[in-house]
Amino acid sequence: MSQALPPSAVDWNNLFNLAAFIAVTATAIVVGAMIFFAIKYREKKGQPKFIPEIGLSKSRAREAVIFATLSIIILTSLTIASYRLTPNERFPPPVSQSLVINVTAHQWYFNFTYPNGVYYVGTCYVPADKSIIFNVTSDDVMHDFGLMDFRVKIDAIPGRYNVIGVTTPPLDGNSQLNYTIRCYEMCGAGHTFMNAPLIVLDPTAFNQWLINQIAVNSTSSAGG
Amino acid sequence: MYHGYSLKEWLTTTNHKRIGILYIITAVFFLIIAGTLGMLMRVQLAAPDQTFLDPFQYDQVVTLHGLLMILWVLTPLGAGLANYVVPLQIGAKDLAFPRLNATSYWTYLFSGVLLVGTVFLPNGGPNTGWTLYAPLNTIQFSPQPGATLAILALGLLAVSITMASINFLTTIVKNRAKGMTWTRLPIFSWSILMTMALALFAFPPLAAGLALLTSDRVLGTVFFSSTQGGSILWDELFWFFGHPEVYIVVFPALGIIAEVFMTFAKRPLFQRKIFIIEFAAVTFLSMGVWMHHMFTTGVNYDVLQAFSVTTLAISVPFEGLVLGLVLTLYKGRIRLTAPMLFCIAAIFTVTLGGVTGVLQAFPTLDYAFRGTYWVVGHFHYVMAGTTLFGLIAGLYYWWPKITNRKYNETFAKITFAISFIGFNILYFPYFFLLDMPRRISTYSVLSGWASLNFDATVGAFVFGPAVILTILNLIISYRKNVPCESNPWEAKEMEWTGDYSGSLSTSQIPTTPNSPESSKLQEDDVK
Repeated sequence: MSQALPPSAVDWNNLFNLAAFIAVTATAIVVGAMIFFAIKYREKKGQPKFIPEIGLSKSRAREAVIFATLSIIILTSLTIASYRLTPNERFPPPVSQSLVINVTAHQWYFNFTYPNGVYYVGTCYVPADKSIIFNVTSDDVMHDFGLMDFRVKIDAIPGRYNVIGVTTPPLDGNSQLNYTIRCYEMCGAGHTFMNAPLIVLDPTAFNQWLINQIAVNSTSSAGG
Repeated sequence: MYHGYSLKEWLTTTNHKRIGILYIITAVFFLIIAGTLGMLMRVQLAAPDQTFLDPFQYDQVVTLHGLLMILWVLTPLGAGLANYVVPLQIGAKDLAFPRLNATSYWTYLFSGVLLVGTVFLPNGGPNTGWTLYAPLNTIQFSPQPGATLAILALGLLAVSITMASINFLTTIVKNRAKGMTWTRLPIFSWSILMTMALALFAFPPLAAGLALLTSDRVLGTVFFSSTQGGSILWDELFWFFGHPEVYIVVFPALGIIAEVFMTFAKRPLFQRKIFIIEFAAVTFLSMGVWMHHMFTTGVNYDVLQAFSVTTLAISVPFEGLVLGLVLTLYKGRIRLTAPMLFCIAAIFTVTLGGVTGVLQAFPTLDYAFRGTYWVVGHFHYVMAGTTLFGLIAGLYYWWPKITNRKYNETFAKITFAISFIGFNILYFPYFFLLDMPRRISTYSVLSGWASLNFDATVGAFVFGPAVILTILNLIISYRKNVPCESNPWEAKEMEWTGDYSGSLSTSQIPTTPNSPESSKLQEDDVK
């Protein structure tokens, strides 16, 4: 089953690849220079007696200024690139165009509540190709709502509603897409097992599921 | 009969050298405990669905490993070397307040024993991870008395380090020998000055947080269990301490790397004045970056963006420090001794640990990194790599000074190779475990994390024993009892050259009563 990467993951991967390329290059230059110096200037037998330089080195600011300027330019451009990417996640499209799901984290499961009052424990169903806003809070300790396939994460904090938005990818011929929501903050002995599947359905199948759930919820609350 | 001193003399000493040795021995003792805990975690995670440790045991092991390594191993090991070396480097008789120094040490020892002891209480010790996030740290969610006692242990450690920081700051500012100007002050002493200045500001917020937490747990207040910002309050207090603490841990290692590079490349430090200015800039900026640990807490986004910028800003002078160290080797006469090899490895790890840290400074990227093994890899490269390698280099480098013995060089080089290879097999896979949450006690076979975790466990079984071999090398060399010359490295700093009774080979610094002969363990020294 080949699943298309969600748009936020594609953006994230692009930014990460760029930043990681710069990081690896910088590491290679610094470490390479160090190893080169360590080999080239190593003490050899039979060399004439070396009189080491005594005292303090002269300070020439030029190199320091060049290196600092270079890194400031690189970091500024990456900051701008990072900031341009941010709105997809932190400032999602308006609520009117999105499906808003309230997520309540508990020790040790997630509870999902839909706009029509339907709630579901342990699994999150969402429609494909749609902007979803997760409104995340916690009922006990601090948890973290992490959807790594979308490269997003937000803390679930008692007494606080944190918002994170994602756009689900189209199904592209699959009957459904499966992702995993995990807790990424130490929350006690069940932290290890605090997962919830995120299942992306075709919009009509999703609506059907939602209607079925209204019936399930009403019977369970009537029974309880 | 302990190296020429009676047991009573060891217990009551106020001499900076003997307290330094006590610090080093105690820190190595805690290193072995915390390292063993790390090995237990790697055994548990070697394969999917293991039940070697149950989740509650695993959580305690994680918590204790983190707390011990950062606060009871790396910080005091640096402080121990500083205790021994700094007064010698600056030509001071002793630390400014010798009895306060002894108090710091004994408080540190007691707090560490107390923390380890909590595990043996009914219901065990703290199980919240070393960050002790609220409200998991409150009595409702971790009711065991061990968790309360651990807070007491942490509080005592904060007191101990605050006393030490006052002591070192006073000593370096006021007790330098005549002629030991700020320009001449050796770079290791500079690094300790910065470390202690940072500690003076970083530990009070921790102490305040711990006092409030104790009040919550014992008196029933609701500072951290409140839903009106209790969690965020702990985050702020903890990371206002926690981020500078990272620099407190790494600065002494940077100072050691500078000393070792200068000695074994026979070169002065590249652009020394700028190096010190950059050092000061990192110290200052590190007080203003703590919220980069809170990028996913949902705090106002523009505030977070500001902290992203300060975090990126700190990387500029830090990069200057690393470049300054590397360029010190340029046109030198380099001897690849064991301390030199460890320092070269430390520069490699600080570069890789540093650039991965820079990636985390972008909030957008950090949404993915937060709470995963990527972060674990990043800070182990900095702490287990740079700091531990740097401190091991320092131990090797000053071993002839401290014990008047030379360790076995070939053995040391072999253990270096083993530890460096083991280290990378252990921690490099973590950068590829991008979706594996931290502090999980096991994982399913479907997760796809099994092979990388197995690699890491193999690495742990190479790295751990290599560190033990390093310690053995030092102990064996001490017991062999073959004295070495007083300055085997031809180093030029005061702790080696300060032959106060006669000629000074390289500097015009006048004599002080702290004669180099007294540094040998066998001799009596200043009262």
